[in-house]
Order: sequence, then structure tokens, then C-alpha cells
Amino acid sequence: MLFTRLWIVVLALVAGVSVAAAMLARSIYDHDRAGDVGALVEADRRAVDEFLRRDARTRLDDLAPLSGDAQLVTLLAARANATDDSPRAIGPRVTQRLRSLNDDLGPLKGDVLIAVDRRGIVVGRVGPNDNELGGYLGGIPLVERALSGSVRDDVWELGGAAYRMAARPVISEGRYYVGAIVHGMAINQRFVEEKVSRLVPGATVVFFGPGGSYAGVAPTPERGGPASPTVAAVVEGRSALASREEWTRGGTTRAIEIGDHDGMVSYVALPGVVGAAGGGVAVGRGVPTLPGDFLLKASKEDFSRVPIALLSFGALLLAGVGILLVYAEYDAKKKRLQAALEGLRKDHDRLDPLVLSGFARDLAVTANDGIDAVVKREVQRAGGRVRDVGDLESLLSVPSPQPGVMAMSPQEEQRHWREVYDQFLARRREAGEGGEAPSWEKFTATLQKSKKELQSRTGAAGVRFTAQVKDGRAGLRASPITV
Amino acid sequence: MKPRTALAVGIALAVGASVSAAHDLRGTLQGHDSLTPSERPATPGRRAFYWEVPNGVIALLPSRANPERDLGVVLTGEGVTESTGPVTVPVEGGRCRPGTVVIAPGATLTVDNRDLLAHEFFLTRADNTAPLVPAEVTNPRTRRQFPAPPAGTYLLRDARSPEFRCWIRSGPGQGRVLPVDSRGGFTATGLADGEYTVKVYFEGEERATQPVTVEGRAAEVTVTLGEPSAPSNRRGRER
Repeated sequence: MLFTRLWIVVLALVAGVSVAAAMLARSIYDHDRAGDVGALVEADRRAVDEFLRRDARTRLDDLAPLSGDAQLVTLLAARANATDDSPRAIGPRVTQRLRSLNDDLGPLKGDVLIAVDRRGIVVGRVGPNDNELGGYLGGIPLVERALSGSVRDDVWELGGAAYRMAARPVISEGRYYVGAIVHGMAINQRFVEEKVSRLVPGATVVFFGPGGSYAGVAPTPERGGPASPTVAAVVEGRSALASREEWTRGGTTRAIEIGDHDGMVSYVALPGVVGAAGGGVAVGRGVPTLPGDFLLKASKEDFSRVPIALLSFGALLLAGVGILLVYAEYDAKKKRLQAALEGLRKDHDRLDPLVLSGFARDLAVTANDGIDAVVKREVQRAGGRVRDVGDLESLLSVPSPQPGVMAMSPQEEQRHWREVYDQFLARRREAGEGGEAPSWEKFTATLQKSKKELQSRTGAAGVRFTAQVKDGRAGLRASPITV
Repeated sequence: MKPRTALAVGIALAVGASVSAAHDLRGTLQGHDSLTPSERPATPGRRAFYWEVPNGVIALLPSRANPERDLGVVLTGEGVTESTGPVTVPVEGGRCRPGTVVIAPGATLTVDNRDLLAHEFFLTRADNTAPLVPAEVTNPRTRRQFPAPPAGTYLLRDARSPEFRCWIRSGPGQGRVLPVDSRGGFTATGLADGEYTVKVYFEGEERATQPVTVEGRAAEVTVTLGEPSAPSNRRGRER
């Protein structure tokens, strides 16, 4: 059953390769999805950065009417030559005017709106601590540049919250700088939600500072979809930024995996004060992975894409080859063995291994040995002596010459030996014996010697030989002939 | 004259004599308009802004020193005690005031953050960025103390705002710090007659030294700022 066994090995290999292919496909899928999500996250990060850039420009432009408000310009121009830090004379009026102008800004209404005079002293303020006037802001880069004529933005952290700041100079008579307007809008939950709504659904966006998160949105995962990283996981992930050269030198990161497969996140530093302190924006997404039981979740559409007919044909072909091999190497030989066993029940005293092959022949040889052993025990129990092919003594002396059988003439004997020689060669082939067969001359010399020895011991008139297979080897059986 | 009246008259005469012996010193700085701050450092890999563009109406003002904030005017002399006591430096609006602080070695330097924004102050040598005192957050309305370093010129910097620079000069010469107004004027009151010296510092370097004598009446002095008296070791200029 060599081929059957080989076929089992082949089937096992096919099964193993199939399972390995499924696992490999899953791994490739996960890897590819991680790459896709990484590219998407980096695109999100660039989009958010661009949103912030445009948002800053919009606010700077929309502040132009406010910084050019005639009433405000007049009030600030009144302090153009002041050398004191106490703006009591104009402070309430500036603050009132700022409040009114701020209300008119509509969606760009500032959470912080400050007016500073030419020296950088706060002369009007709307928002937190709006009664605190007289402080100095002129050395903060945003304000300093505005007092020098530039239009500029920044990001500040005030009271634990982040603000998108913008500042414009206030110009009097088209010739003199008399102060600046500083406008700030909080980076709060609403702002982040508005930004997230412009991205492909499923993104987590977090604005963070040196102390933690300012605001962040993590979407609820869709049914069956990948879970987006949580705000806490994204904020936790920033702890590893300090060791990344792309962050310390460039202020951005490619998509990096955070936590234990929590998702892919890309970071970008915010500009200005918050950015210098380590603050930034993080955009993250969950990575879809193929579950271990993904085959159980296949839909009808998935099955419809599988070439079931082709695969079925292949499976049937494999099964058919297996069945054929089993029939050829087992069933057919078993039938012949059964037929040989039937012969025992009729008139045969032994199984003929020559008509069998493979395992059936091996069984037949074993069975013959068993039969011989049984007969031997029975003969010995009855007081007789059993001839044994392997025992030359018993073979030559014990069997009594067969009475009534005529001795052969020399011609008949030569013909008999030729037949025995041919049978012997045939048995050798059947037994699968290797090596060179004995020559005719050597064979006949052996027969002659055996004949003489047997005749001298038994007084037989002649000897007949038969070729047989015993214990898997070809051999000769000698029978004395009496007149 | 009753004893109580006599005592009052005596005290009045003594105070009057004392007041008549104290005089004011009024000074004016010249050349501060031409002082140009050194280039300000930036944080590598960080943007300071998305947009910084001209206003489109009138030309930008050139970068000029702010005499109120950037100049340190120190008066020393016979009547001014060299102090080794603690020095408190207010930080407001992104500047310390004065811009150069003169402190005796071993004295305690207290930085008072009066800003809207938190700072992460750290101390370095003026010609080196390696922190001598590591950065630590100082929230608005809080203070942080530093031990004054050995004699030399140092920079107090802010990890959150790379443009912030406050020069610390540690060594002798700490006298009375005189506030300067926006026009470069300064006043010292209650000076006894004697010889005094006005020193002006800008970005950690002595830019002018002017002796002045107060004798019997209020004195006036004009201090003209010049180039640094010693080779520059300011990091900003080197950049």
C-alpha cells in the first residue's frame, strides 16, 4: 500500500498548505489594511492641518473690519502718547466697543478679544478676566509682531484651554500704528466635532497640549467596523513622541501604531506657544482585522465568488485517485487472498504466495508458516517426524521414499531439472530477490550433489525437486523416489 | 516751650535737614532708538505660526529695543548699598523687566510669572544652550526660585516660548535698579551727595557707564548708549 500511504501524505500536505494559505491570506489582509489605514490617517492629518491653516487665515481676514473700526481707532489713538500703564480713562469704553464688535462677528465671535495700545498695554478686554486692564502683552511674539504691523496667528493655552489666536495692528489715519487687536477662539469639543465632520467617517481627532487633551472626538464604531482609538489612547500615545526624530525635528509623524493594536495615529504639532510646549493634533483610526472565525462570517455573496465547481472537481479528482489506489492496493489483493483462503477450505494444504502480491502475499507466507507450525505440533504429538525444508537432515532422511513412483531416465531427469531451474528462476523473481541468479551449470551441480546425498541416505532410486518460496526467498524441495 | 512741643520741633528740624540733604537724579538715555534686538531663536521643528504677513496698509516697523522692558539701568555709588539679598524679576507679556538682571552670586533669583501664559523657565549660559537649571512649568500668577549662578552672564529662557530671553548678570555691581520709561527717561530719588555711576545693560552686556555727582541739588545726567564694551558672547548675535 505504498501509493495509498503516499497519497495520504499528499492529502495531508494539501490540507496543511490550504490552512497555511488561509492564515497567510488573513495576515496579508491585515497588513494591507494597516497600510491603507496608515495612508488614510496621514491624509487626515494633512487635512486637519490645512483646515487649521485656512481657519487662521479666515479669522485674520475677518478681523480686518474690527481692527479698522473708527471708534476703536480713535480710542486707541488717544493713548498713542501715553506713558502710564493705567488705561482707566478709555478702558471701559474700549471694552464696551470690543464687546459690541465681537457680537457682530457672528460665527467668528471670539472667546477672547483684547485691545492693546501702542506700548502693548491692555486697554480693553472681552472674555476671561475682562476687568483686568493695564497688563502688558507687548512682548508676546503674537502681539509684538502685530504692534510692528504684521498680521499673525498663534495658539495659546489660557487657563488649561487652548485658543486659536489671531492679531492685527490698529492703524490710525492710514499712517500710524496705535495698537493691536488680539482675537482668540477656544479649541473646544464643538470645534473638534466640526473638523471631524469634514473627514472620512471613523476618525478620532484629539487636540492635546503638554498637560493632556484639550478636546477630542472618538466616533462610535459602526457595526462590524473597526473600533477607532479612544481619546485616552491617543493622548497616551504621545508619550512616545519625544523619542521620535521625525517629531522632534519636523513636528509631524507618519502613521504609527499605538497601544496593543489600538489603531494607527499620526501627530502634527500645533504652531505657536502650544506647539513649542509639545502640543499638537492627533488623528487616529482603527485598523480592520480579519477575525479568526472569518470563514463563519462569509455571506452568500462571498460564497458566490468562490469557484465552487472547479474546487469540487478538484476535490472529487483527489478522492477518486485515493479510492483507485485503495482498490488497487488493498481491495483487489484482499479478494485474491480470500480466494486463496477458500482453497484451503477445499483441497489445498497451503496458500500459494505466487498468486498473491503485496500485503496478501506477506499474510499468505505468514499463514503458511502458521500452518506448518500447527502440522508440526500435531505430527510430533502423534509421534511422527516432520520434514522441514530448512532442515536438510530431516528433508533427506525423514521422508520415506515414495513407493510406486518410477525412477526417471537421464533424459527425463535433465528435462525435470530444466523445469525446476525455470521454476526456481521464476520464484526468485516473484520473491523479488536481487543479485545474480545461479547459472545452469552451478544449479545442476547442486541438484546432483543433493540427489546423491539423498540417495545415499535413503536408498532412493531418484529424487524430484520442486522450487518454492519460503520466508520470502526462493528455495528447493527434494523428494526421494523409490522403484 | 513745653517738652512735647520741643520734641516735635526737634523731629521736624531733623527731618527737614535730612530731606534737604537728599536729592533726585534725573537721567535720559540717548541712542536707545537704534538698539536692535539680536535675532531670536526658534524651536527646531516647530512652526511659530501659520501666517505672518504684512498688514498691507503701511510698512512694518523695524525691530527696535523697548527701553521700558529691554534696558537695565543700575545706579551704584557711595550711597547705594551693594545688595546680596534676593531679587525678584517680574515676567509679564513675554518679557522680564528689566531685560538684564544684575544679581550678586549666591543670591536667590525669584521669577514672578505675571503673564497670561505658563512658562517653562530654564537657565543656560549666555553662550550655550545646555540647561544649567532644568525647565519646569511656572503657571500664571506663580513664582519660581533659582539660586543665582557663579559670576558670569546667563540666559533665562522659556521652553514654551523660544523668543523669550532674560539676561542674568551675576557678579558685583548690583545697585539700585532704576525703571525706565518709554522715552528712555529714568529717575533716582533720595540720593545723598556723592559720586555715583549709572550703568546701562542691554541683552546682558554693559552698553554705557556714566559717572555723575550729586552735590547740594538735583542732578541730571544723559547717558549715551554705545557698542558693547566687551566682545559679544550673545548667542542671538552669533545666530
